[in-house]
This record gives sequence, C-alpha cells and structure tokens, in this order.
Amino acid sequence: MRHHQVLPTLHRGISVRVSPAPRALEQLLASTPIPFAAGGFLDGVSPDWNDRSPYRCSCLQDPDERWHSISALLDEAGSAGAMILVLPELTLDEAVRRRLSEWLRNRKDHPFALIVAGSFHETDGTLGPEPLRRGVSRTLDRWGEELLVHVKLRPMRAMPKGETADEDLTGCDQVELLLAPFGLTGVAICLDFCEIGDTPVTDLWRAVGPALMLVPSMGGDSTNHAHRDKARQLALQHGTATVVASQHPKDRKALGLCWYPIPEGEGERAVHDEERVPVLYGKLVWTDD
Amino acid sequence: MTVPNSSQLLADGPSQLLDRALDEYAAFLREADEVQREHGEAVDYAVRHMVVRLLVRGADEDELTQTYDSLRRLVPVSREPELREWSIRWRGMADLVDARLQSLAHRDVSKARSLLHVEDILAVVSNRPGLTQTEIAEALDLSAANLSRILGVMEAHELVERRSVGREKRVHPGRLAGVAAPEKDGPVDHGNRFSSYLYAA
Repeated sequence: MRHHQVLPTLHRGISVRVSPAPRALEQLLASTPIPFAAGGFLDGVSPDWNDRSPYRCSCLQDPDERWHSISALLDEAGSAGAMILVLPELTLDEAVRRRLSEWLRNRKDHPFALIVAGSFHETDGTLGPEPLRRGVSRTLDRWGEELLVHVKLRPMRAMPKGETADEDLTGCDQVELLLAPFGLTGVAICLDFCEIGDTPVTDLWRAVGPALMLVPSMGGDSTNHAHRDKARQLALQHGTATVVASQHPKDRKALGLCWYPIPEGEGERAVHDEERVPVLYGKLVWTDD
Repeated sequence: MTVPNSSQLLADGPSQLLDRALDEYAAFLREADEVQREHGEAVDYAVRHMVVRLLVRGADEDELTQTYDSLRRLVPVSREPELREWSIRWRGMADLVDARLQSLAHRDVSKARSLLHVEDILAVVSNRPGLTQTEIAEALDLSAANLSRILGVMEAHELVERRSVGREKRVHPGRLAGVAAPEKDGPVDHGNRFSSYLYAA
C-alpha cells in the first residue's frame, strides 16, 4: 500500500487527473480484503456493427437480452460479495447502462462499491461544430452515479484480410484516476492498457503507477496475452493489481477474464458454453510490504 | 415504511414532513405518477431541515453515513431529467454530509490533547460540567484570554462544548472528550533496542 506518491500531471501529451472518492465510498474501499469480480456475456448480443464502417456502433442489437444477462451477473457477483465489478468493452450501451444505474440506486442491499460499466461508442457534440465519436467507459459508484469517465485514448487498429482498418473513433488525451484508500485506481479500455511499441500510451501506466487497474476489453487470445504482459510489468514495477474483463467481438464463447498478480495457474478460467453466468472472482489484499 | 401519496404530502405540516424518513420520500419520487413543483418543495423542506439538524447536533459517523446513503438514493435515475433542479440541490446536501464525514475522519484529537493545559481543562470540565470560563480560569490559574484561545481549539476538536446561558458561557465535555488521551513517550530502554533490531531481522 502506498502512502505517498509522486505522479505526472502530463505524460507525453496525456494529462493525468485525480479525483477523490466520497467518504462513504472510502469507508467501503478501506476494508480488506476487497472481493472483486470480472464478468462477461454468453448471450451472443453484439453491437450493431455498421456495414459501411465495420468498427463503428451506436447501440446493442438486443438491449433487453443484455440486461437480462447483466441482472443474472449482478445477482451472481453480488451473492459472492463482490465490491468491484468489471464488465467488458462494448457490452453496455447507454440504455443498458441507465438500467444498471437504476438497479444500483434502488437497492440498498447490494455489496458493489464500483462497477466499470463496460464501454460503448458515444457521440460528443460539446467540443466543436462537428460531433466527435468517442469510446467511453463509465465507472458507476454504489449509488449508480458516474464516478470516473475514461475516454479511449487509442482507437483499435485491425488488419482484416491484410488491410488496415481503424476503429471509427477520435482518441482522447486525458486520463482520470480515483483516489482510493489503498492508492490510485485507473480504468483503461483495451489498447489503452496493452499497447506496445513507442507511443505515449505504452508507458503511461508505468509512469503513473496506479495501485489498481480495471480494464474493460474486447479481443481474442493475442489481446489477452498482451494484457497479461502489461499487467505483469506493472505488478513488478509498482505492485499494481490488474483486473481484466475481455469479450471476443464475434466468438461468444471466447471470454478473457483474468487478474494479475496471481499464483501460477490461478486467476484465469476457461468459460464453458453451458455456464449461463460467466464470472471470475478474486480478493484484493493490500499490504505495506 | 409508509409511502405518502401526492395529496398527503401537500397536506402535511412541517412537523409531519420532518417525521418521515428520507427513504419514504425516495419511494414517493419513484412511485408517484407526477411530481409537481409543490411536491419538490415539500421534500426539499424535509431534506434541508434534516441535514441542518444532523450537522448542528453533531451526529455520529453511522448516522451521517446512513443519511448520505439515503440522500444519494433520493432521486430515481429515470426521473433525473424531470427533477434536475432538485437533484442538484439534494446532491449538494449529500456533499455537505460527506464533508462532515471527511472532517470527522481526518480529525486528530490526539494532537489537540497533547497541547499544554488541555488535559487539565478536560479533567476540570469532566468533574464539574457547566463551569463558567471564569471559574475554570481561576481553578487552573490561567488568564481569560489564554483559556479562551485553548477552549477554541478544544471546541474545534469537539473536546468541549460552550453553551450560552444568559450572558455567560458554560463549558461542558464535548463529543470526543471520552477518547483516550495519547500515551506520553517514556524513556527509551536502550538495552532492549539492539535486541528488537535482531528480532526484526
């Protein structure tokens, strides 16, 4: 556990901001251990990928079915006492996220302190005459209100059939961290966490050194492998704990739920087809070592 | 929990409004077909007075935490656009309660208790609650100005409470007067220091 930390306010053009948690949330997050969960979905509900621009979406194909899956996941993770829950990238559109907010607001008996409500493409018309498309992940507090907003820094690049295709988004140049009793908590969407090569995003988290990283992601084996590599580096350098919830864009059985650091062979779980509620559980324990 | 209906809420007098729990208002705002401005004003009256009372009477952490939780659940997500004006106002009330919780959490009573004369004043006030400042000054042979300054620090840390009775101020033990005094450092036992390093290694 860190008691003092020096962190950059600007890292290679990316500004770094820190937000305090309300005291009532601090009290919850000060408990130890902190049970957490990473969840995924086997319902086959996809974003409405646009044919003209394959990496662009505005809503989910079946929000009701997705909400049904989230309800089951909340019951499952809630009954295990999870205080932090991470959901994958591009799995909650605005309508579903509002239902999640309502669920958190109306129930007093749930254990959740923070829920990373996946992410989705959103249109931001506040910055100029032309609305910008952004990838946005909103972290909800236990009262269903947005506590942290992470706008994707680095749009995804794919190479289908050998041609380069970028996610139809405008990147951002700002990150926000939550000041929790155990240290700083960051949220990074997919490539914002696992990017390799020499870019400002690559070494951002190593420069900041958060205590906990929560990563909603979408990708296959190579993406999950890259997440594990970055998580391992951060764990070695800063003792950072990382929780990843990853969902494959097409293969509904291929979920990547993992956390790091972990004992060998634990912390990752193959999700079987027959499992209705795929959730990975763990406990965060902060020490002064 | 009794959920008031629209007409009941408008018919309630001030004391009846204050008798209701915040959760009842949350249920009303969730279930009412229509929330008029008058309903918002009635709920606001209750919220405002509850929060002020809570802060004035020095409620403990548990009660403050429960109130904060209820305030954050007051406006249903589906009604946020409709109740935006009230929502911002009641969120501000929740922030006030949170600020009080923060100040309680970061209050270090031990520092105040280690100041000169504080323990002596506490002992006098605990034995004879309700003494005037002049009586305390005489008992401890302190100047009125010095005592007043020390009492100000003690009151800020809730070690004492000054209550006005007529033109006099009487001093009573505060909410945190019962918190144990810090242990004073004793002489260092140099004989044991070396062995404790060995055990630590």
